[in-house]
Amino acid sequence: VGYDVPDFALTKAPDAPGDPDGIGLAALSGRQLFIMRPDGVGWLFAPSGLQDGPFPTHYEPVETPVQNPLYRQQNSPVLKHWQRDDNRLVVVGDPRYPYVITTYRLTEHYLAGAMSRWNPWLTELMPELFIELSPELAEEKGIANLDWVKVSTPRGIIKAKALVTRRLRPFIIAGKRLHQVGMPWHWGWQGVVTGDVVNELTAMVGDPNVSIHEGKAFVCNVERA
Amino acid sequence: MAEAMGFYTDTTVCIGCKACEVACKEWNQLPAANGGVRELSGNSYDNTRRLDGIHWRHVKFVEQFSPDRRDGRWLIMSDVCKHCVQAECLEVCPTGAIIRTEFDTVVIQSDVCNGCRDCIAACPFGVIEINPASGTAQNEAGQMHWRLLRPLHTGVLSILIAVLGGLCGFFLAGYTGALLSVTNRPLWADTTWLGLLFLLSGTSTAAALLMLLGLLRGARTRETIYWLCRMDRGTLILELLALIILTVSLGPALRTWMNVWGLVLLVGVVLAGILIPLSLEWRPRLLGRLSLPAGAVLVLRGGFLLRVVVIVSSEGV
Repeated sequence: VGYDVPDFALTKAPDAPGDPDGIGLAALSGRQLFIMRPDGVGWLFAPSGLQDGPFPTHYEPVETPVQNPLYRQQNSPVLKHWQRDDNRLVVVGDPRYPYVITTYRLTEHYLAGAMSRWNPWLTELMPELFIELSPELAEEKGIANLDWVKVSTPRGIIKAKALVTRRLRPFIIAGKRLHQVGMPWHWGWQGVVTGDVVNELTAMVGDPNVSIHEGKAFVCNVERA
Repeated sequence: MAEAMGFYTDTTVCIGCKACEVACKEWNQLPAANGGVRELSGNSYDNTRRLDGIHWRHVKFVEQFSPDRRDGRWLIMSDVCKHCVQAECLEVCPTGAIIRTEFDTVVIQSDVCNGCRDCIAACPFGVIEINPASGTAQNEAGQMHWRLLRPLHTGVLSILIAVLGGLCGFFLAGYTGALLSVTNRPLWADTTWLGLLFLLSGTSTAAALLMLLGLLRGARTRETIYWLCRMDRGTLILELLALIILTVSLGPALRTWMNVWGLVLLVGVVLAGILIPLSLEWRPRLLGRLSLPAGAVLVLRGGFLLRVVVIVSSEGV
């Protein structure tokens, strides 16, 4: 299972029977690995309940630098996209927005920071908005650690400080080097500390089932400000 | 002497959330640097930078990645005072402000510190700094001492539970005797002193039982046993008085006890259950190390016999 922490008994063989009087995992047979499912098995075919399906597949995010390697259909055909002038999407291979970007939370702040940005004990621990990038990309763009960086998508342009770290690493996809950057999204225009709003970069696209927007994978451009 | 205490951080499960830093600041009411407005440090996720007078706990983030990322670790360590066995800060302190406590921790007493900064130079880990508010040397250790003491003695909740629980306990201890008085059985209905007698007997037996348990746990409870012993002596005397008053108040009903039960009461309860344990607790040298446990056992046995006599003797009438 690699780095994953298994939810089932690690040494139970696939053909091991479950103990009907057993407690907890002992009651499960070696085939019932998916403990969050009522029947304990993973489904390749979901007959009801989903807008998409019934078979799983792989679609690329709405904005991506690569073609879907698995399937001719690039994106989900049933995703929601609110068509507005300020909500335009980047097409694959657009040289103006070459970098993959992901957004995430930090442990020091809560959601968009509306509460935690007012608490000095928390703001001193994470005081400023930053963009994490690899030393390779920083060198390419002439960006030094703590430089101000301009991050842009067709929806918006924001500024953040560069945090150059080797934790970020370039991908090699189909022989081409692709850079990824990451930004936390806890800042706003009020509070003890303030910063630009990262969600101004994201696109208003929703997944077909629960309309969660795609803030974990899209593309952007990065320039030294 | 309290047990030696230390603070162990398991770096293999630490995720670097810094909640310990915030908890430390909250407990000790330390200010945020510059009101919380700081520049990004640019060093991984570490914006605390170092331990100082207002940062008594510092979560370090150490990135060790080879240029090709084949070898990579993100090390996270919650750094704090080590409470050294041979504490240099304590050795160099000219005012004696730095002491070793009963928990084997090293504590800076800021009200004794004169701010000379010798300890800052002496500490090999850079733990101590001047607190700008007090102008004295400070680190986490001082306030941790109060944290260690606190759960043992104070706290509004523990006081509340102790007082309410004590009241309920005393009420319950006297209630059985009072309940017997409202029946129309001879002996029980003839006096109103049974409740008090049962209460006092319950108190003395409780003290004896706690004493026994404490003796089993050894030297750590010595002080508590001393106080329990004093309490037991007092309640035993009161119990004897209450028994005499009860006997007198019985009047003609006293003949209920003019039989073998009266003898059991006199020998089993008064002599072996009150007077002998009283003298044992008063003069512990009588039986050496066995004095206190023997006394406690006798008190427990006496309390039991008292109830047996009161209940069974009434049945015989």
